[in-house]
Amino acid sequence: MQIKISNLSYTYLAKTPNEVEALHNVSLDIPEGKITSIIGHTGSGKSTLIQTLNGLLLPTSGEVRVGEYVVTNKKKKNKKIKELRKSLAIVFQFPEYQLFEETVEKDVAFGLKNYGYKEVEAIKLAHKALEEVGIDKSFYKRSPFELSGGEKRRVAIAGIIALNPDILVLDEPTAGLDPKGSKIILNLINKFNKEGKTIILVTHDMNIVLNYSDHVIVMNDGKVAFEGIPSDLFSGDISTYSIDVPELFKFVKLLESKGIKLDISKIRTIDDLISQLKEKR
Amino acid sequence: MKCVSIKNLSYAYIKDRPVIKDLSLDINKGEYVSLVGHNGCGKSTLAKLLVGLLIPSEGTIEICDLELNNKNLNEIRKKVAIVFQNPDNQFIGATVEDDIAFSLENMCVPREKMLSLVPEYAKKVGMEQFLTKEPGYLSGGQKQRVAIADALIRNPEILILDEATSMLDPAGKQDILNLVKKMRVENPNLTIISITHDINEAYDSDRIILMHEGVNVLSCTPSELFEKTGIISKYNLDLPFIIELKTKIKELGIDVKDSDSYEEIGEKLCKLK
Amino acid sequence: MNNLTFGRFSPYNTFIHKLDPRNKIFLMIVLFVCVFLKVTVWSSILIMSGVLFLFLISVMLLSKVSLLSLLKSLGAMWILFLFLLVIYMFVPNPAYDKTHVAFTINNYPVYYDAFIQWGYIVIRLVMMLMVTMILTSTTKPMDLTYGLEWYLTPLKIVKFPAHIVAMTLSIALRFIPTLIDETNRIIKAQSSRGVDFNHGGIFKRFRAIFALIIPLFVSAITRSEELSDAMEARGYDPYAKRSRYRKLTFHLCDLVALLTILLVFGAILTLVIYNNHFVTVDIIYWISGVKPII
Repeated sequence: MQIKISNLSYTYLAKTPNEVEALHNVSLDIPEGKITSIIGHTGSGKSTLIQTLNGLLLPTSGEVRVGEYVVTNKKKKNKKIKELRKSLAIVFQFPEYQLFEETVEKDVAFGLKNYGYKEVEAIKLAHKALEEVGIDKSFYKRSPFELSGGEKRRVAIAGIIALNPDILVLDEPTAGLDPKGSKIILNLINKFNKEGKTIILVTHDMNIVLNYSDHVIVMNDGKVAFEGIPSDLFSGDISTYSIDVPELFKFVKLLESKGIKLDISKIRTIDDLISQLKEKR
Repeated sequence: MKCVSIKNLSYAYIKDRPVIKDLSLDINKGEYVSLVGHNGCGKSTLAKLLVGLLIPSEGTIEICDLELNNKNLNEIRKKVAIVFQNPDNQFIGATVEDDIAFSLENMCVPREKMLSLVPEYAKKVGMEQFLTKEPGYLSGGQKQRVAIADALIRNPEILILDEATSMLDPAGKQDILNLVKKMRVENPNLTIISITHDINEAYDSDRIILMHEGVNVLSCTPSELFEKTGIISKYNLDLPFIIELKTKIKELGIDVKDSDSYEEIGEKLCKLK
Repeated sequence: MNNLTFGRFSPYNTFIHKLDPRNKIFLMIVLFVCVFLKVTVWSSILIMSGVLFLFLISVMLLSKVSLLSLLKSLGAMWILFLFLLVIYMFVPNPAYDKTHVAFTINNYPVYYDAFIQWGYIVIRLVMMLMVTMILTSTTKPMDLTYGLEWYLTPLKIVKFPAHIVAMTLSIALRFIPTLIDETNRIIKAQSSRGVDFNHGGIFKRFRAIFALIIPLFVSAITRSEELSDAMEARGYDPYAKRSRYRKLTFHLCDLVALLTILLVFGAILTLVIYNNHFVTVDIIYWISGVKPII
């Protein structure tokens, strides 16, 4: 499913003295089947942007097209929003806080039941989703509140994955996890992408952008400031967007300034850099 | 001079399932120590024990030669300040100034003294323009700065940062790290114990203590730790980028052992071309 | 949740805003007494309500409380007013003047008195609302707590934990915005799992509410645990003596406000005491023949 955003604007508290324009005339295409990262400092409009994608916020003007679905400010046109939310699912920041059922499997099946699946079938699909995120069978009948932070988060993600969305949006999926927990989540995301899902990540971690995403969108003051591949972003001048350059690219830039020629578009990890250096020797 | 001395400490939330097992540890005055290790390794429990929020199941904790027990608790709380992870859940006052004053109120400091101290410490953390602001109008980083101001205003011997930056965005995080650096320059006698997942943060400290399943596995300087590749991979630790870079470049057969900046490493790479 | 405008603090800096919250709480109570003082002569009722109403309107203008928001909150209360009207119309009251019947419904008589009594109670409720609104829009919730604590302090003699109550109250107030944010966040997260909070039958909505309430509770409990840890670590002991950063001061303007309102109160009290002696001929009674019963 393709996502096409045209002339999207969103204003919080419109027509009051406190109104804030969070998005201003944003037009974007988000490529199908890829991992796209949306970055930008706090308050740049990225959270607002993802919430308009499945109609949690309705645009002040402009529209979002997701496959056959349309999100606009006209209520009549938005009838299929519930269906849209199944195809384009959002995993919010700290999703473990939305767990509430008495067992892990019931919590994962909850979303399915909202979409009309029968109990038995929902539980079956829930098991499949739990298996996908690597939660051991022995946890299925236990309370989600007994699990560790990282496990809870995987259960929450399973609850979304069980709906089998075509597009998966994740807001800061690794926030608050330790390095090991983060790695597990990121590998999962990569796996979902390999299985054909379009992934949209909102993140502050530039290493995630560099190592995992195919496409990057930079938001700044409610507008799209950059759209393209990560290596182009980091090799250019990005000081105005208040984004950190990953350490790897700080070093790559330094090497370039010293006259070492590198194929920047192919550098994602230290190993990529080292192998290019090796070829030179 | 010893500032914290922990002997054979054990703690269990649930009987027979200790989170801290027979841990012994000394920390010197003015030292900046990072506690690293995975979630559930007992770091945060240790922090809570150090400020007397939990009572040890076994063993003793001495802070500035004072044993931590119910009798000394108030005395010790004046010496140890802690900043927790969640900026929202430790903002007690209605406004920035009320929150900074909270500890002073508890210590029964006269009002006249508070009126001069509160703005002074707000200034130290760069929040002097926000004194009358309510927490809803502040960013996470700003709230943590307020928490640090409240911690410092008590003039503690020890400051514990319990993942104080982990819920902040990069800008907020950098803010807090810069503040910690500034604090160390201004007050070299302040002992800082920082619990963190961020290895780049730990890189700046005097000593890293690695915890695993309730025991301290290792205690050494950051550079010593980063040479122990076996330990690094065994405990799944991240490496600071520059260390990783140096190790990988070494594999190319270039000696960059003494180079401590990208500039120096870059130079060496150029020379070989 | 967002159109909850009634009585929200509006950050101006008027004369009323500057008053000591203790004084404001006291004056509010005095005004409440004024509103509900009992008079039994029509002209007294009219004079009293008129004076009070004009006085409150001018205080509202002075404190920059918008009259529009008053009307909005009145609009929100229409069900209450309607309910009262029905009660006054159909609940028999022996004091009603049985000679003046407005109309009958299925042979059940509805008296003029019912409407008059209803009108009188509505006016008094509106005035009460005005007083409350003036207080809450010109006083920060936290200052209200400090004021309240001051009044509760004497109760310490009977071991009433005034400062604990005040601390609890102030923390509750401090966390309201945080919990509202949290609620909105959970609503969005659960909506993404197909929960529909606005449509569907009772059973479905019931489930939806569960999906909201439980996570909200879990997070509130976590918050309160972390908060109590933070308070304890910062040396808070509810039973120990504490000094205070906030100090409430009684200014000259407080005296002015106090005297003004006491003047109004005195005038109304005089009216009440001399109720029947003062005004010998009650014009309305004379014209309409309806006697007020309070």
